[in-house]
Amino acid sequence: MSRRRVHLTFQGQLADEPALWNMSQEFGLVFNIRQADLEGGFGWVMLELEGGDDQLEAAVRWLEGRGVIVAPIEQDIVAG
Amino acid sequence: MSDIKGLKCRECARAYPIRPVHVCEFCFGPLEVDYDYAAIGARVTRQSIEAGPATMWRYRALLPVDGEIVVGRYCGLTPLVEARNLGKALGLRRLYLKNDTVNHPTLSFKDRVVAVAVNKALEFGFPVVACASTGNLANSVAAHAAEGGLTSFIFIPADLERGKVLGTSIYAANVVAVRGTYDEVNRLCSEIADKHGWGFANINLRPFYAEGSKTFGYEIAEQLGWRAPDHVVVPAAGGSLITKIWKGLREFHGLRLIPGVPTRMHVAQAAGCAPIVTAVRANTDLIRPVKQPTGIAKSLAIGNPADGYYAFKTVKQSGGMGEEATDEEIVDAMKLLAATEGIFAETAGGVTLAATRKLVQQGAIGRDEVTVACITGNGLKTQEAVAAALRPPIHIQPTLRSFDEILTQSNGAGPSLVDGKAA
Repeated sequence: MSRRRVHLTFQGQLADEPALWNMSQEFGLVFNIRQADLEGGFGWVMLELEGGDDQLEAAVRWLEGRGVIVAPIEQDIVAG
Repeated sequence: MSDIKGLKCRECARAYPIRPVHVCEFCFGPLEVDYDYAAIGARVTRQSIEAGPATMWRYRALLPVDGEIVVGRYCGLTPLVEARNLGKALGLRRLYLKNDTVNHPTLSFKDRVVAVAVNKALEFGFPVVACASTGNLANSVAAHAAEGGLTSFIFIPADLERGKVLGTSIYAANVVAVRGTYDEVNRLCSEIADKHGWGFANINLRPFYAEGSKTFGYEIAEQLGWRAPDHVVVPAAGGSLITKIWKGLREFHGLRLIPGVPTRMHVAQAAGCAPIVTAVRANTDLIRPVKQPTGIAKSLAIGNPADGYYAFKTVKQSGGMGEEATDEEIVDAMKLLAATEGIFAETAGGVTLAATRKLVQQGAIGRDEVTVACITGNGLKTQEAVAAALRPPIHIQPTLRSFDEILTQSNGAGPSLVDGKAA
């Protein structure tokens, strides 16, 4: 089992569906929200994900496919 | 010896000992160095600072480095240029440029943060330092690693132009080009930092690295004669610099080195990537990431800024504003700066000055107010950004007659030989 700390930006997705719950069911992941700021479906969530490496990768791609921006907890690392 | 208590979470205030960690284990908030200001205040005075070296290390009591300064010993204390010509062109009587185009050793403000980070990496005993960067940060990490005898790994997107890599490769760095989207490169670097236990400048060394930016603010205050300016205009990428300049000024005030901080902090970004300016204008601390930054200001192209929230807070708390600049405005401002003050800034400098011009036009900056524009990098690194906008050389025959002909044209209906000068 691996753990990954991620920063997610939602752009309306949370208004329509329980995206994190769906993700955890779909890929068998445990998630733990550490901080969040959401307003009308838009906002960000910092959470820790726990599960198999392949499941973690698949979950990231699944979220991205739904328009969620998935960044490491440090957000943009690639600097100018 | 620095008077440092440890690290502290900026969100929940939980304390941590000094070690290479950057995120609070409990709330994932960023960690920051926690100083014992009472102890620092008991021994730091204007006189003690003035007696220090002519570098940013004159402020080392307020920097998180404990041992000998091994690398970056000549960094900082760059000129604060009284920009009379440019000021006249912009309608400002008291305009100053904090000129980090001449910072040592790699000609950008990143040398300040990297000098602190790599000295700290040496203290922690890291054999390798690393970063992910497309430009200034890469140059600086590679150069400081070379000076410190450390191995460096620099991660870049695979599609980065070869010319941009040279300024890093020359320092014998291991440059690794990652095939993948920007987001994939970003995530990979975070995972590498986790796995290999190297000193990553803007990841696990970040609490120390970021403190180097405070020296930009300290120098402004000292060079103005121990006072804070009325306005500072700061270009933003990740948003850290503006928060640290503000922190530096407030620390100076807390230590009674300056009488007050009336400063309004203004944030400047390029129109092709302006998530912080957008938030400031909308008056919301929810930063909307820019998925695909565009435009010529590559050094500011951070779509999902780690310190965006804190940059927003700094602007709002100080009563500042946000302004953005189009590519055309950026190039115009770069040309104006060069033509009036003889300073060739990179695109970020153009962003800062174009934003400053707009803030003056809006009345947000008054004609007689002391204004500092932050020029953070050297134009020689981004020549391609202005190449097409500059007039090519005038070709003549090797005769006086040929030269006199083009002089005559210049005085008459022909092209002006002083094109680009401020009126």
